[in-house]
Amino acid sequence: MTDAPNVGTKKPLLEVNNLKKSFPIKKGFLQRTVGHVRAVDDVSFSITEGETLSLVGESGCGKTTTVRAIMRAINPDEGQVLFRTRDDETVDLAELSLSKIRPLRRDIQMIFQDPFSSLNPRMTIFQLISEPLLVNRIGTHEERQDRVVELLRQVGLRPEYMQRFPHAFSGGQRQRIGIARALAINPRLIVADEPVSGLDVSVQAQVINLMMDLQDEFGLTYLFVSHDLSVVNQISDRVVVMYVGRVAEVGTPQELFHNPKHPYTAALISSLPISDPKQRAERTVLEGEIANPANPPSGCYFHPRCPFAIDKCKVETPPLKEDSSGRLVSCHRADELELVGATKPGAATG
Amino acid sequence: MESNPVEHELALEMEDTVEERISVASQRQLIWWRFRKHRVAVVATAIIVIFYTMVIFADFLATNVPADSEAFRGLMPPQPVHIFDGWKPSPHVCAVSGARNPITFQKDYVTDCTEKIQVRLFARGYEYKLLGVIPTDRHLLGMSDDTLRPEDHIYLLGTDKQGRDMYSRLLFGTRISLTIGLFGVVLSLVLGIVLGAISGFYGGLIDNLIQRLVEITRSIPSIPLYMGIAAAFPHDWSILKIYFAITIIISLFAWTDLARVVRGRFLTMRDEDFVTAAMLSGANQRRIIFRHMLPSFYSHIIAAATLALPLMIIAETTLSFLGLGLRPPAISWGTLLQDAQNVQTIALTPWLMIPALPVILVILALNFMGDGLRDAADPYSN
Repeated sequence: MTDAPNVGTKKPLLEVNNLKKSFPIKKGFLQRTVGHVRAVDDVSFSITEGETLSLVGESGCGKTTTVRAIMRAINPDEGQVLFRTRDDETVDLAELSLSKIRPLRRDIQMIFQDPFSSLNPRMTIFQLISEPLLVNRIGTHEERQDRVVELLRQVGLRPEYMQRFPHAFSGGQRQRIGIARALAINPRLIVADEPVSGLDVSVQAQVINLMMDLQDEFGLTYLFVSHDLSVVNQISDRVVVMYVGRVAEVGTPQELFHNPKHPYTAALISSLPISDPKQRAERTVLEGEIANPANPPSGCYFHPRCPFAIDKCKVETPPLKEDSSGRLVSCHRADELELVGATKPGAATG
Repeated sequence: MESNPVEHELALEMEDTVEERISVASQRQLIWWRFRKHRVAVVATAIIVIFYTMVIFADFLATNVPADSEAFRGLMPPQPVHIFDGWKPSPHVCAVSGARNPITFQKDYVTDCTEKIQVRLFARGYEYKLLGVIPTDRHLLGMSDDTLRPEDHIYLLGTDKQGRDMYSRLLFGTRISLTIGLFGVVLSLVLGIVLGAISGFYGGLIDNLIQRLVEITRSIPSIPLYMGIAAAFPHDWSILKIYFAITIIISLFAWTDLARVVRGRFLTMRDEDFVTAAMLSGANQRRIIFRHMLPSFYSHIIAAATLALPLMIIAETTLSFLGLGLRPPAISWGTLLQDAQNVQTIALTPWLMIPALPVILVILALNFMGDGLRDAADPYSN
């Protein structure tokens, strides 16, 4: 799972270019727009088939908005979301009308954060899991039933539970149901929006392992959103670190954990608990608050909290570009800084 | 484990079946189980069911034609049914005869229990059509044929000024008042759901317009407006036309509450994850609205409608009482109570106030039933 994917030979399944989404702030009786919250501010990345790409960042940094814009649950303001269809055509999901997107929804499915609100309490497990099949008119009733039995087995639930309602299941079991629903129509990309953050740690591990097993078995592609670095380290092939709607750094988990290039990544890594009690970590405690996306600082959004900020950082926004070692970083000083990552391999796997 | 292993296993098995029953219980069953626990609401529901049964079988239950007036029997006191004659079961009412008092010029009635009028179930009476189709002359209660004399009569709740049977009039008044409420609720439900759904689902400018319309409607004082509209009814309209006109007017004002409830529900539903999930799996808008959104709150709609019904009934009763709604010869709770508007009634003929009792009973019962439904509507709340 942790080998770097062979990016050069495979075409990307999904390519996000300069995605932007801001929400207007409305005030007063006439609902005048007094400002904009820049939830997603120029985000680019790409996912190749079969890999797991994670979006990491603090709460409110625009991870969820990014994936919702990709899924067109909300409409992005600017940018491209290029998706390679089954016929090897590339379409821009950001541009298509909602009716043209509907046939493409088969290929992109989502796993939700909250296993309680994401399952309709009035439908049985069978109805829930077979809904994607039903609305896409796949198979007869019997075929759908067989498929649901198969899916329930795959996610580790007893097929006899098919006629039960969601209220009879625990959080972890519900999340398995959510995964089964996402798998039902054999999607090519699965977007998982914090799929384990609502679960107990022991259940988290089970669900993560299940997702990884399913990926091995069916060659799934995951776009994984999380704020939990240890979970991300376990499941990802590549990680996109986000800060206030922008990409700070992209890299494999090893690169990020042991050799972070962006001061923000380094601060995130240093906040992880170390499992060895004899070891003392040098923690970088960030000063100040996370920037307000409605009124972001000038230049690099991170500069007010960055211990290495220079004058240039206050004026000029650093572009996301390759540094001398070929890593994608958006920091003016990426090449000069020597940042400390996690000291011991595996320290972050928790 | 000291306990008998067989017993223990049995207990476990029982636990399993209970759990299994809950696991596969649909939302409707969960609501019903929870509603059942609310005793007052269950009793209230039974009362409502009884009243609507009376509405359906008003003809069968009545003893006299409600419009038959006999001036010389005006303001006659109630004749209660005696079931036993001494120790012998023999249902009867006492004969009542009246004479004009030469000093006060009032009609004085004397109950004479030596003269018994025999009463039986399923007696013959005036002819009518049961449920509007089956012609019959059987009534639940009536005077038995064998001992009948032409001057005998049965007025269970007395008579009004024009000598019309209060009991039968009350039944027919209940029929009109309760159905006006029902039609009114259905009409405002349709208006409320459609406008509320559009408002909540699409949002934006349409939402803004509909919400302002709701506010304007709610800010109009209702009684003066009713007076204006009632004055505008042509005098030659039949009772039926006025009845429908009143229903429509009442519901034109009552839809706002329901529209707000529905809108609020749609707004919260729109952001529910399971609605997004349905959209992302490729479901079309119709499926999302009718399969996912509406079912999640139809129990709330039913509760809101149940709570709107007493308001409708009160509105009709008030209007008719004030002489703005239905007018005699139409019979409704309001027109019946119109006769009880003066001090004379309270002092001399208190039975004319009897129609107030079903009004209170039905309104209370509907409110308790609505409360119970509202509490049960969300079986996952705790």
